[in-house]
Amino acid sequence: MINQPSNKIIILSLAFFILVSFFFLAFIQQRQQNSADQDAWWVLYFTDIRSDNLNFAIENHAVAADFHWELFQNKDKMQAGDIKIEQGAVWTSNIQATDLTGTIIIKVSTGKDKKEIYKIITH
Amino acid sequence: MSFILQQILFIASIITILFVPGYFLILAIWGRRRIFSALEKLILAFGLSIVSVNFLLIFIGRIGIRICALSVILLVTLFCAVCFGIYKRRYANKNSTSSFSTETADQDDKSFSKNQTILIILILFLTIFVKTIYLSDTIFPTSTDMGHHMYWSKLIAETGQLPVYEERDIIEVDGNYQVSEPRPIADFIIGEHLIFAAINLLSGADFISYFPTLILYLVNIFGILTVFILAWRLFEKLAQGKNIAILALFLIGPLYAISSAQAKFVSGGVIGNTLGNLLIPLTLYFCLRAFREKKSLFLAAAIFSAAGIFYSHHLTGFILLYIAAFIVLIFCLFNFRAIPDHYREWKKIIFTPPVLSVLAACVLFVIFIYTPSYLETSAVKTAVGSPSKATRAGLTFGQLTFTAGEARMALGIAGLFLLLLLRSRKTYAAAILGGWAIAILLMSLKPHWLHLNIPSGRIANYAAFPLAILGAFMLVWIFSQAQELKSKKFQLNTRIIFSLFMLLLSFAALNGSYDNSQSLSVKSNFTEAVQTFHAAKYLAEKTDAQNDIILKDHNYLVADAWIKLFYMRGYNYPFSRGFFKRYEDETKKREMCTLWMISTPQTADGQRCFAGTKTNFIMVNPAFDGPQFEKTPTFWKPYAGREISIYYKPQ
Repeated sequence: MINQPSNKIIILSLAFFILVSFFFLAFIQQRQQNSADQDAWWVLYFTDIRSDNLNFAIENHAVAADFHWELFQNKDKMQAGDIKIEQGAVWTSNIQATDLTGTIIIKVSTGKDKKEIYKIITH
Repeated sequence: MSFILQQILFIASIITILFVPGYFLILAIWGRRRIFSALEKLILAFGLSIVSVNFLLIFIGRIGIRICALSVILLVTLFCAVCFGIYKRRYANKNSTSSFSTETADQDDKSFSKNQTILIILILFLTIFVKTIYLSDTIFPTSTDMGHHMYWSKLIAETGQLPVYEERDIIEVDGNYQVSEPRPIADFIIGEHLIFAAINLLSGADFISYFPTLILYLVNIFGILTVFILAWRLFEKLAQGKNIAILALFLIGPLYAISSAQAKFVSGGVIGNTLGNLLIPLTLYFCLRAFREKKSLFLAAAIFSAAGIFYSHHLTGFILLYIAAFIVLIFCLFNFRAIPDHYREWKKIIFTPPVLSVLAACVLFVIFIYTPSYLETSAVKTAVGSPSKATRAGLTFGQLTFTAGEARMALGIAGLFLLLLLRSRKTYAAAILGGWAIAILLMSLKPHWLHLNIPSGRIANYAAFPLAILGAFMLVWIFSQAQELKSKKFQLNTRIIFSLFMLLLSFAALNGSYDNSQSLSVKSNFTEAVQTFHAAKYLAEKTDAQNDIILKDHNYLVADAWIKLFYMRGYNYPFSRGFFKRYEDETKKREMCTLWMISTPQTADGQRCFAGTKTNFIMVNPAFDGPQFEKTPTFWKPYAGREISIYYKPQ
């Protein structure tokens, strides 16, 4: 039993300050982990890195936006499309082309922001 | 798991690991006797818990018991039960009424006045407030050191075993490059990782989250509190003793709350130094009480705490040895004629069952249970000798002042001179405080005098605490001189001295607050870190350890040190292109492959490195390192982000 009242008040105050601080910092970090607090970003990647499979995904961590994609075989545009992707959502393509060779480039743009990924396929 | 439930589990695990074992240990050793105030008991329980849990986990790890949530809970429960049993056996039947009157008087000594209590609470509030504001921008896991440390903690949690501190590296053999077999590394010490692993196991908190920083933050706060109670005990014989302790708390709490060795080290993941700044004052606290009160149990506790240091951080352990040497030196210097009497007293404290038992247990633990990795790799030999680099040749006074804080430095140095000039210099308190300060100052400023070869900047980070106590002593001494003169009715001199006191206090407050404001401008970069983690997770799902070698960049990627936690395929997986200046360091030759493979991948050297190491994935910031990989015939680009891109080199 604590018979030193000043010690008891200090301990309780300390515990309170630490708990509030911890809770606040944990909350902040969890919010930062979610898209809502981050600067807008999106990412483009192949679903299968190694094979000739050209399916790709666009993962959007910005506000919902329109994306335009194009598939190039070397410098020739082979396919294109437009999609709207909500914030936090992942859109995966369904490309059937299996006989393409050379440098196969996927270009995606939204507004002025552009990204591209590519595979160099030789049979 | 909901956020609230997560927090409840997290707090519960902290209490279980970081408070309960220490509390029961105190109970076993000292019973419920009012040797400590309630506040001291809480603070000491924290430090003793860390040391106890570390040793217990090392022990069960070595005897082959898997370290998991169940074993940790059972271990802590068993430890507490044993301590409680010891307490019951030793104290439960003893009649304590005979010492009731002295204990009642003791209560008053351990209590603070209303104003002092308010002041302490206010200082604690400011301390935690300033650090919280700073940490709110840095709470997201990005720091390099913390990433490295959490790899080992996660390894313990996942494997249930004590880690073997080793790494693979890229080496050159007969002109060809290859990945080496695992080699031991001395930079990590087990005590830095076990408590994090234990808390993860109990709470389920993810390593890549707020939890490591919050634990280190707690260690920092309790380090400050330990200095507070140490200052209190150092000066408890003085009428103004409690005020000195409160002022010391002010000088190390809210002032310079962020600069190195404080919140910056917390966010930077400098676990060893932060633990050291808790365990050194803890050890000195027990030492002081051991020799002043002539109680061997305190000395046993001091040795136990010191042993905890050696299993937590080699540099801190090394510094502690120097501190101990200087304490003995100063005490002997000022008590030269009374050494024989003191020696007889010391023998009665040292050659006692508690002290000898703890010493023997420590020696047996080192020899038969677990030898710290830095002893096995002879890291000690590299710490002694002439300084090998400019950074080890000692700091200038200005540099040390910058590290310690100008006001703290000025007041601390003045306080040190005052301490050594007053008649009280003959006391254990003066020897401990003076020895502590002088050791750190000399190790930082003149390491060659002490035959030291350690980065001087790292030692300087230990200077703040003793200087804060000395500074507080200095300020209160000035104030008490003013009071004394006032009582002798020297009005003018009283006003002058009192004004001087307020001026110095204001100087300290403004200087410390300004230092805080400079550090608060840090910009959070958690968005970049989130993208790094996304890329790491993507590659972790699509690669395997047998066939894929990944190389990432450290210069332009945020939170890259945490990437290894997504793979757990070795400390050095993925390989890393380090800071550019490291490849130019003449005193420490490094492999160049990690530089060439990213900076000049198409050159002959780069190609030889790729062939020899079989590196096939590169993670870089496209803004800086994209051009050398873009549209080359050897690399694919399977992943494109804003802050990070991945290039693949098919074999």
